[in-house]
Amino acid sequence: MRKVLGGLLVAVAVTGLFPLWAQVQALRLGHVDTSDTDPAVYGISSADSLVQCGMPAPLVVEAGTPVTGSFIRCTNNHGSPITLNWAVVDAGPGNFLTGAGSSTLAATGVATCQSITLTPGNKKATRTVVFSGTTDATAGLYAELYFTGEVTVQQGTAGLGGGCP
Amino acid sequence: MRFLVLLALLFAVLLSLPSALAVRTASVGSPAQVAVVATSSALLSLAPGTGSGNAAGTARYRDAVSQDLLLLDFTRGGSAGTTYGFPPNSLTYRDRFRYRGLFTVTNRSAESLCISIYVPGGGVADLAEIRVRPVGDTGSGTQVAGAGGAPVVCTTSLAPGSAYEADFWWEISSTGGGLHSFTVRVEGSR
Repeated sequence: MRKVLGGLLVAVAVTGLFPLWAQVQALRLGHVDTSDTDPAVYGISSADSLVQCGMPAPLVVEAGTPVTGSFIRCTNNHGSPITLNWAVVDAGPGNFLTGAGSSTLAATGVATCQSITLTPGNKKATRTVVFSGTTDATAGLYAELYFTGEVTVQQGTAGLGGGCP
Repeated sequence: MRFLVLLALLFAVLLSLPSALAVRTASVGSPAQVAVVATSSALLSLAPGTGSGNAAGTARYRDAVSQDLLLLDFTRGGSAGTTYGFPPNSLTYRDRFRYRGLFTVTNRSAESLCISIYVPGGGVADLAEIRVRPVGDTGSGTQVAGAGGAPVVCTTSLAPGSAYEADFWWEISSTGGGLHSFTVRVEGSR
């Protein structure tokens, strides 16, 4: 009888340890969830975009004359400065327009005019071109932004029109 | 007598079987257990990122004191109290947005763990990828979830005491009509 009771005691003890073992294993394989009921959400908004850029008005540039100015308006609401590297990615046939530059968008979220350098070709025309602004891939918020703008290249005009005021 | 001892042993084995099976599918899912093991000090612990990727506090603790649960809120921006968002249909114009280092995952266990971060239950629209990389690494890291946040097969292990940063890549191809809250699950397995 004593042996039986001893065996039962060992069995109960071993059985009792299993849930604890299971819990230890569970912690090793643990996962942590965000909550369905809390705001793990994202918004989509044109008015209060996280980062967005555009060209406010058509540009007029002189054929064959590189020009640097403030042509592009951006907002940055991310909360930290973002440096965008600019390029004209779609200059159209005949080397209509090339461009490049780099500018930092402040963390304040205020829309500011950004400067880029444009190099028009000698072809007189009005075209819609695509601008791109891309942050360094290692930036905290990597942003890749594309937008279109209307650009007119004309001959013999010293002044520039369009872009940001 | 021997029969009784054998019967007792059989009884013990039967009693322990459910527990043994539970080990195979073990997980910590209930709020009570998460509350016991705080997010910041769990064996697989999560902490909000401290770099510019989390400048707006997109990832934060629900309760800063108890640090019990990590929340993600992609409507956060530079001005407190204002709700922001991604431009609608921005992928149409090829726009992309990638948060780097939203939060860190630290392996506080004594063994290497395969890390998985994903959105269970069908995923979420417009989430292109989730990736992890060592803290401070400037590369693009390792993909741990694909379109919609769907998990991919274990691709990287996290050594004991080491940490990963989690990156979220968004590509917005909607107007936001079908958006909903979602859960991100972080798991470590051997």
